[in-house]
Amino acid sequence: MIEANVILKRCADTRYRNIGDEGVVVRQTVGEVLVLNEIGIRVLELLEAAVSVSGLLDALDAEYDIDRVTLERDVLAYLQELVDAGVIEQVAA
Amino acid sequence: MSFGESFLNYPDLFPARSSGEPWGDERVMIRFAGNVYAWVGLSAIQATTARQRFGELCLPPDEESPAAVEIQVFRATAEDFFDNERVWSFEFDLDYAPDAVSIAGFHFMARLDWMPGLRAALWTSEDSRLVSHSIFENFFRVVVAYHLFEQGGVLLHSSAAVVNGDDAYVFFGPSGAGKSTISYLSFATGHAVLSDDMNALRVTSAAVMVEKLPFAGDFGQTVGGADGSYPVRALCRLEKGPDPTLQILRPAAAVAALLGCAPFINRNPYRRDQLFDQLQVLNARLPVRTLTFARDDRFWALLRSGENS
Repeated sequence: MIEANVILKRCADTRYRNIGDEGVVVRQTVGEVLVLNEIGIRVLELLEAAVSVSGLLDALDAEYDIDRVTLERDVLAYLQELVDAGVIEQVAA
Repeated sequence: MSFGESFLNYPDLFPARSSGEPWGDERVMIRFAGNVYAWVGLSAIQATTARQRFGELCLPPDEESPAAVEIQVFRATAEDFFDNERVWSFEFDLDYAPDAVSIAGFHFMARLDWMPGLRAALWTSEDSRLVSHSIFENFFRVVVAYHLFEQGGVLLHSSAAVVNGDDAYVFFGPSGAGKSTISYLSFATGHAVLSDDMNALRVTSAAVMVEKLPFAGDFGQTVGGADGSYPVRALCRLEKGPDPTLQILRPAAAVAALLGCAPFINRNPYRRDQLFDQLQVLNARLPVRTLTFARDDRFWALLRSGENS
């Protein structure tokens, strides 16, 4: 599981576009195409600049009406999925 | 592995511009989907085999017609390429720059340049085997994909089946999705097949049209001649399953699925935004569905009922 002090950024070969309330992500080097939900696209927007996980959680906490515990649990799991999918990556611990 | 390493002995010597020694002075003009593609600098045997391959799509040698794209063919030496007795292959490397695409494949190098119009050049060591080793067609597919894309269209990995000679369904999906299978099933139920592998989609003010291209897979094509352009009823992403189903694809999923089936363009970072734009237009103009089908013709009844629901 990703820790709160980790810095994340979008992978360099990843590009995305908002379409409706979802988004399409392309991993250019491998030709892989993914569909992300609203949260996933918002995460990528926030990661235009490298951001710590805690900073990301604070930003999402301010935007979404959800309790912090649930937010952290769901977002951390989702971030791990995005890392595993090669969409985002860790910069430094 | 870096660009060309699978095919070239000297990847660093990849041609930087469209120049070289032509194989000969033969010219083959090939017309389809409203465009003429001129292959120039061919040897006699290269021209003969190309005319045999593309048949009635070739203009008579004495007919002059302006070409949409000129494709120059130059000599390369056998030393330029690995010669490890590999069989011919549809695999090749592509490398991208803002105004160029470089291609390296089995016994060929090629490049597209925008100057600003599209220019195409091919270097090969193959004379009599240029066509039989698929070099000609491998590069031709890339040229057509980019030319069509420049015109606002998209080359799609797809099968297209014509309904009553009036309009068509386009079934798309990656290799193994069932394009050839659904082509067999469609033909068996009286539908003409434009191609079971690659079709052109072109947006007009009146409709999105699917156009026949001379590129096909295992099943082939059942519409003869150079023409073949039909309004598209729906784009159907193929999935195999026990029973036919038809489901709406959400916009993002539709664009993602189409993106995955737009070969040669979809990995080009310099054409990505334009590709997104053009696929979103397709998605806005046409129903995009997921069609699950089995090895029978029940899916046709489902498509017809889907239109009436």
